[in-house]
Amino acid sequence: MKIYAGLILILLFIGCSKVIDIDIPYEEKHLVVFGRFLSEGDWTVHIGKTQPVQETGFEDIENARVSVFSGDNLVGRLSYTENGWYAMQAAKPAAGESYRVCVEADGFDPVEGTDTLQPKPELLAMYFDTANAMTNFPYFMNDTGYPGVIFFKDSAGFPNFYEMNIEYQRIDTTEGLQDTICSSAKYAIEDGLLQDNELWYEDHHEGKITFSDLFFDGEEYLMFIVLDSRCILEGLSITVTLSGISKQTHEIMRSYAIQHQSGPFDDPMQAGTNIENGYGLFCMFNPVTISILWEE
Amino acid sequence: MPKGKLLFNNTLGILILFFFGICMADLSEEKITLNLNHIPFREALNILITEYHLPIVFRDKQVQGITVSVACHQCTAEETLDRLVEKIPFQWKRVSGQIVILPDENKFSVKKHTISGFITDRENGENLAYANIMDKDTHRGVMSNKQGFYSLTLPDGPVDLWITYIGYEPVHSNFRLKADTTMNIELSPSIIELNSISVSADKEDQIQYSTNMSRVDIPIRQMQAMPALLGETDPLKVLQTVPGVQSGMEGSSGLSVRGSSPDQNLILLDGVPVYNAYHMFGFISLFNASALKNVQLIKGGFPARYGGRLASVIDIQMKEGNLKKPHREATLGLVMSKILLEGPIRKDRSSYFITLRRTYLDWLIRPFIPKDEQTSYYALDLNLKVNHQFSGRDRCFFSGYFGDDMLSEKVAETYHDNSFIKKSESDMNLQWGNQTAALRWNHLFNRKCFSNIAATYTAYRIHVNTKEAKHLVENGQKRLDETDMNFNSRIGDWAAQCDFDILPNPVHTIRIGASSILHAFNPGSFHVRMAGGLDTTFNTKTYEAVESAAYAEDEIQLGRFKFDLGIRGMLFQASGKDYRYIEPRTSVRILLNEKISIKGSYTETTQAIHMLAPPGFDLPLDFWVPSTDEIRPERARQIACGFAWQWKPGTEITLESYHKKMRDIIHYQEGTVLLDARTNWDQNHITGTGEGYGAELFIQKKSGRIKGWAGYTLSWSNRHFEGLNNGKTFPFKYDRRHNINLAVTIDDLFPGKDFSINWVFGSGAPMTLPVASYYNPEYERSYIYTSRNGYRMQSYHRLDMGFTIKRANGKRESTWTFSVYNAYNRLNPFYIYYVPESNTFKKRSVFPIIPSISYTTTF
Repeated sequence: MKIYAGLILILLFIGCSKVIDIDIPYEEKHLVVFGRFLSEGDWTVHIGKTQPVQETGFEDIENARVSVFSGDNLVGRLSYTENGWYAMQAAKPAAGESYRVCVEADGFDPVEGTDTLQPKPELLAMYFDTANAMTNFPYFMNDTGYPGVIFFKDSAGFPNFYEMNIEYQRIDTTEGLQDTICSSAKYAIEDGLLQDNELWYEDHHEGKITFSDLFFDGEEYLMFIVLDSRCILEGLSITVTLSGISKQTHEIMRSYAIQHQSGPFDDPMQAGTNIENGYGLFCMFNPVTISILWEE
Repeated sequence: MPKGKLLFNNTLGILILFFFGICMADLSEEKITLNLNHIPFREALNILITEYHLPIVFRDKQVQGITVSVACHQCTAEETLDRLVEKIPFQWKRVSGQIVILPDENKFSVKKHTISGFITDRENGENLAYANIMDKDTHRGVMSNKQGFYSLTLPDGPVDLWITYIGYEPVHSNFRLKADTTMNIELSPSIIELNSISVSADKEDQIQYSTNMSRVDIPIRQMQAMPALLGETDPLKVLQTVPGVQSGMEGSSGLSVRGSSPDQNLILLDGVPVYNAYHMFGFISLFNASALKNVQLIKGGFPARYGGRLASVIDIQMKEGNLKKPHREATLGLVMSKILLEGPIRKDRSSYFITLRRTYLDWLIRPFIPKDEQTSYYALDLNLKVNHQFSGRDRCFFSGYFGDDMLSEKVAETYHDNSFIKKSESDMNLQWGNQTAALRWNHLFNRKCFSNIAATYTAYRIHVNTKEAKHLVENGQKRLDETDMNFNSRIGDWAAQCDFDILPNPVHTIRIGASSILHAFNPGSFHVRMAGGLDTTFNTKTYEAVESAAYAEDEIQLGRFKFDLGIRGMLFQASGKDYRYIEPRTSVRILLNEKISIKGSYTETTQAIHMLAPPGFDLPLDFWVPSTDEIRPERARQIACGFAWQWKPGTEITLESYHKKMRDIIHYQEGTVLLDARTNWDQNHITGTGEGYGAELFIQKKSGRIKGWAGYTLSWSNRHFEGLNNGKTFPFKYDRRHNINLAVTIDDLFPGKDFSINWVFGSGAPMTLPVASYYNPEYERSYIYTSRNGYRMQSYHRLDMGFTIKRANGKRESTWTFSVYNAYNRLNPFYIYYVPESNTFKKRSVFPIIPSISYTTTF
C-alpha cells in the first residue's frame, strides 16, 4: 500500500479527477439466489435480483417459488420468511448426494443451482496455549496473540475443500472485549504452506476461510493459528466449525472475497456463480464443530 | 504465363527487332550523342534502335533489371556500344550485319576490386551506422553496419562514389578503381538541410531499394527537436508516435508494438538487453537522448541476428565520445538536469563519453508533504563509454549504464488503546534499477570480413526495505520492537556473442553469428528480522537458464528482386528442460519501378523468458522468470506485406499490413494477488494465445527545413485464455482501433529558432467496469462486470508544441527549449473507476497542460 500511496502522491501532484457519466446499459434482470444448506438445521435461501450498478438499494423477491430436488424427486418447497429469505426444515442429506434448488418468479427466467454434500470432516482436537502469549506478531495491533492448533483428519483419495469459521461467544459481557474488533473471529493462520498456496482470507483474517487439502491429502493435519490477545477473555467460549464444501463452492467463495478486497488498480475479478441463468451461490455444508472455554 | 506463350513472346520480340534492324542497317554510321543516366538497358537499346536506327538484336528477358549510364558526344556506333556495355556483364557482336547483344558472364570475373573503410562524423569522429555508399554508374551500393564499416566490391574502372547520410553533407568521389582500396570517409553535419539536398538525387537511401520493412529510423537530432513531457526528450516516447506502436497509459513510455505487450520488446542499449527501461513509474525512459547516436525500431521482418523477444527490436546505440576535441554540455530542466562530458583521450585514437542525469521531484514535492510523513522520489542514471582504436583493423569499446529509482516514505503513527499506547515509525524504501556493461572488440579480418565480439552483462533488480520501530507502553511497561523486512528480486545475464559481416560481392551480404546468455533469476526472496530473535529468509529459490543461439543471414540482390534470407536456431535450457527452435526470417523486395517497390516478410520469434507484472497497475514491480517444464516459451509468427514509395526526394510513403499470431503467452490467473504472484508464480499463471493484425500508413519527410511524419494505424489486438473471460476472446488492453500521429519540426522558423508540434489521436482504450450489482449476504454487494476489456474509454488526443532558441557566443552555444505538453489541456482518461460510496464513476486524468522549460549550454 505504501507503494501505491507514493505513486498516488506523485499522480496527485500532476493529476486531477472528474466525475463523469458513463452509459453502460444493463437492462437484463436476473434472479440472484444465495442458498446455504447445512446437513443439519434449517435450509435458507435468499432471493434477490440484479440491478444496474448505479441503482441504489436492493429489492428482494418476495413472491418466488423455491423448490428443492434430489435428483428428480421433490424434497420440499421453501416458504417466505422476511427480507427476501425463504426457509424450510432440513432434509437428511447423505454425503455424496446432490441437491438442486429451483427458483421461479414472475418476470424472470427460472433459475437453478446444484451442489453436492461433501463428507463430514473429522475434527479431532483443538488446543491453545493460554499461558504464553506470542509477541512480535505483526498482524495484530498490540503484537500479541495466543498460539494454538486445530487438529483434523483429511479423507484420502479425492480433493477435499473446507470452510473453517472461528467464533467467540462472550460469557461475561460487562467489559473488556471490543466489539468492533472481535465481533467476528480474529485470528491468523500461521501455516506457511497454506498461506502461500491455498488459503484466501479477508483483511486481518477475520471471518471465514476456505482451503483445499492439496498439501495434506489423506493425512492428519495440524493447523497452526494465533488468536488476537485483545479478543481473548477469561470465560470466553471459542467454537471452531469445519465444513466440507464442494470445489465449486470453494472457487465461487474465493471469487467473492477477491472481488470484495480488490482496489481500483486491481484486475477486476468476476464473481463466480453456480446458478444457471442467474447469479449467486447454492452450496451445501457438512459441518463439524468443537468448542472450548478459555481458562487461564 | 504458359511456357509456350512466353517463348512465342520472346521470339516475336527478337523477330520484330531483327526486322527493324535490317531495315535500318544502312543508317548505322550516323554519329551518336547520348547522355543517359541510370536508365533501363532495354530503354537505352531502344533509343539506339529508334533514334539512331542501329540494327540491334537482344533478348528482352536477358536485359530485364539491368540499368546503364552512358555519356557520348558525336560517337560512332561502336564507341557508343562499347561504353554502353562497359560496366555491365554484356558484350555486343556483329553477326550478319546485325548487332547482337549477349550476356558476358566472364567479363568482370577477374577485374573486381573492393573499396572498404569506415564512415565517421568529421566533427567528432563518431562512426556512422547505416550510411549509404553507392557507385552511381553501376548503381551498386551498400550500407555501413552498426560500427560504421562498409565494403563495396566493384568492377575495375571508373567509379562515381557517393556517400550519404541523413543530416550530413554528402561526399562525392570520382576515381578509377584499379585495386582494392581502403577509403575512410568523414561526413560533415549539414548546418541547414537544403530542401533538395543532393542526397535526394541519388537512390542509395531510398526506402524502395531496401528489403527492410516495418522499420523506423528517426534521427536523434530530430527526436531532440520534438516537444517533450517535462522538457526531457524521451526516445521511447517519440517512437510511440509512429504507426503500429501503442503507448498504453497516458504519459507512460511503454511500447506495445503490433498488439504485443511491452515486455515482448527487445530493447538493446549498445547491444545489451535492458529489462526495465523506465524511470518515474514508466513516465520517462532511462534513455538519455543526449547520450544516444542511433535509435531504430523494427516492428516486423526481423533480421536473424536479433532474437529472444516476440514483438519488436529497439536498437539503441550510445555515442562513442568525441575523438577530435573536448565537448561539455549541461542541461537544466524542470524536473531533471543532466551533464555531458566527452572528448579525446588520445586524439583520433581513443575517447570517453559520460552523461549523468538526476530528477529532483523529491525537492519539488517536499513542501506539499505533511511533516510527520516524508515521501521522496528520485531517479538517477549514468551512461559512460570509452573506446580505443588500436589500429585500422582493431577497435575496442567499453560502455555501461547504471541507473536507479528510489521511492522512500517515512511515517510516524501513534495508537492509543485502553491497555496500551503504541508509537510506530516506519521507513519504507523501494529501489529499482538497471545496470548494463559491454566490452566489445571490432576486428577487420580483411576488406570483406568484419567481426564484432562482445562480452556483456545486464541486470535489473528491485529492492524493498521496510523498517518499523514500535515503542509500546502496555500496562505501564515500556518495550521497543524493531522489525526489518527486505524483499529482493533480480534478473542478471552474462552473455558472450560474436557477429561476422561478410561481403563477398555486391550480390551477397552475409551475416553470421552466435551468442550464449547465462540468465540468473531470483523472482523474489524475503528476509525478515524481528526483535524477538526471528531472523529468517524465505523464498530464496533461484533459477538459472542458458539461452544459446546461432544465426545466418544472406541479403541477395537479383535484378529487381532482393531477398534477405535468414535462419536462427535457439536452444533454451532451464530446470533440466531443453527447448529447441528454428526460426525462419525472410524478407523480399520487388522493385516495380524507380520509385516503388513491394515488400513482404515472414518471421518466427521465440521468447523463453517471461515478465510477470502484478495484475492491474503498471508498477515497476515486474519480475522475470524462465520457461520451465510447465511454462513453455512464447512463440510468434508474423507475416507482413506492403509497398514503399519514394514520393519525392526525401519523402517516403509506406503502407503495410501485418498479421501476428502468438501462442503460449502467459497471464496471471484471475484474482491473483501481488503476494501470491511473487511467491507462487509458476502455479498462478495460465497460458493462451494472442493475435494482432492491421494496417499502417506512414509518410515521412526526412530532409529539408520542414521534417516530420504522419501516420495512421488501423489495428486489432486480441487475447484468448481458457481461464479468463469465460474462455472467450477479448480485446488486449493495448487494443486501439484507430491511431493518428502527426509530428512536424521546422528548422529556423525564424533565424536561430526552431518550432515543432506533435499531435496524437487514439480511439478509446479498453477496460473492464462494473455494470450491475446484487445483494450478497456475505459481502453486502457483489458486482457484475462487462466482459473483459468490454468497455471503451473516451478517445485520446493531445497536442504538444516545442520552441527552441539557439544562440552561439564564440565557442559557447546555448539552447532554450520551451515545450507545452497537452497544449489544449485535454483531460484524457488515465483510468475510470467506480466509487460505491458516492455511486459515481470517476475519470482520473493526469498531465493536464504542462509547460516546461530547459536550458542547455556547452562549455
